[in-house]
Amino acid sequence: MSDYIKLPLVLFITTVSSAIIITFVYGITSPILEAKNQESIQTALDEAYTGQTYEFEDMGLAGGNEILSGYLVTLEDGSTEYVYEVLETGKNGDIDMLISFDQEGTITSFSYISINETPGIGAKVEEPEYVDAIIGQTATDNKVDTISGATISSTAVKTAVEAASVQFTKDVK
Amino acid sequence: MKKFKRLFKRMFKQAMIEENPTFVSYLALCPTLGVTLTLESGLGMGVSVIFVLTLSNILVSLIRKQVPYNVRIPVYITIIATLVTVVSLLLETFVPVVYSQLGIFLPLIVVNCIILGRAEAFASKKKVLDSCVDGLTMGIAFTVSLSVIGLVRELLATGKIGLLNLTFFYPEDAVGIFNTGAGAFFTVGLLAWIFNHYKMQYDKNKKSKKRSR
Repeated sequence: MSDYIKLPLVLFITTVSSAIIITFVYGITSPILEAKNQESIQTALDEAYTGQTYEFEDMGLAGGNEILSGYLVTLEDGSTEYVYEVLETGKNGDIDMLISFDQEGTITSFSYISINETPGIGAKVEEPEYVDAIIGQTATDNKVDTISGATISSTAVKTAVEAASVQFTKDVK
Repeated sequence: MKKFKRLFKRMFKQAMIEENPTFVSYLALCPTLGVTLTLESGLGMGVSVIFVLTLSNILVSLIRKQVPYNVRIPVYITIIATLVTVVSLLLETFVPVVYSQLGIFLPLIVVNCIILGRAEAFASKKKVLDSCVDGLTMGIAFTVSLSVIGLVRELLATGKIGLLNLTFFYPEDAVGIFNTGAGAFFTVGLLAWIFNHYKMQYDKNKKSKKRSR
C-alpha cells in the first residue's frame, strides 16, 4: 500500500523542483534575451531609415506564421509606415528580412537582418540590383523575380514579400 | 582536495583510454556524427555535456538512497532534462552562436546515452565525490574526442581552423565530403582505428607489467 503513495510522491517532488529551477533560470535569462532582440530590431530600423528621426510602436503580431513582428513607424513628416520582420528558410538556414510599406502599399525599403546564403550562388539575392527591384513595388501587385541558380534563396525572398503584403493588406484595413 | 586530485588522476586515465565513451564504448554517436562539423561546435557540445553530466551525476548520487528502485529512470530523466533546459537557456542568452550551431542536438542531450548510462551504472551506486569525478572525467574524454573529430573534419573540409584563426590550404583544395554525414562516419571510423591500435599496445604493456610483478 505504501508504494501507491510513495512512488507518485517521489515523482511529484522531482517534477515540482524541476519546474521551480527552470522558472528561476528563465526569470534571469528572458529579460536579457528580450533586450538583445529589441537591440537587433533597433539597429535594423536605424539602417532602413538612415538619417531620419522616427518613432516606432510594436503592433504585437507574435503569431505562429513567418511574420515575426510588425512595427508602426512614424516619420518626422508625420507619415506612417508599416514595417514587418519576416523569417523564411533559405538554403543555409533562416533568412531574416525587414520589409516596410508606406500608406499606399508601396515597398519603401527592404533589407536583411541576418542572411547566410552560399557566396556566389544564393547570395545573389543580396546584390543591390535585386534588392532595388523589390523596392517600389506595391502590396497588391508585386513581382519578385526568382533567380535561376539561386532558386531556393530567391523563392524564400519572394514568399517573404508576398506574406508581408498579405499582412499589410490586413493591417491597413 | 588531495583525495579529489588522486581520484581524478586515476579515473581520468580510465575514462580517456580504457573506457573512452566515443572510441571504446561507442556511446552517444548521434551527437558525435551530427555536431562535429567544426572544432568550435564540437567543443561547445562537449562543454555542455561536461556541465550536464557532472551535475546530474552529483544529484543522482545525492538522492540515490531516497529514490525507490521502480521509479529511478523517470527521476533521472527529469533531472537530466531540467539541467539540459537550463544549459540551453543559458547558451541562447549568452553564447547565441554556439546555440544556433548545436541546434536540435542541444535538447537531444537529454537522451545522450553517456549521461543516462553514467547515472544508472555509476552515480546511483557510488558516493558523491566519486560520481562528481566520474562525470568530470567522462565529460572531458567526450569533449576531447568530439574536438579531435571536429578538428580533423574542419581542417579537411575547409582548409582552415576557424576557432584558432589558422589557414592551412586554399578552400579549392578542400575535400568536400568531410562536410557531409558520410565524412563524419569516415572520420569517426579512422580515428577509432588509430585509437584502438594504440589502446591494444597500452593493454599489452599493462598486462606484462602485472605479470612481472
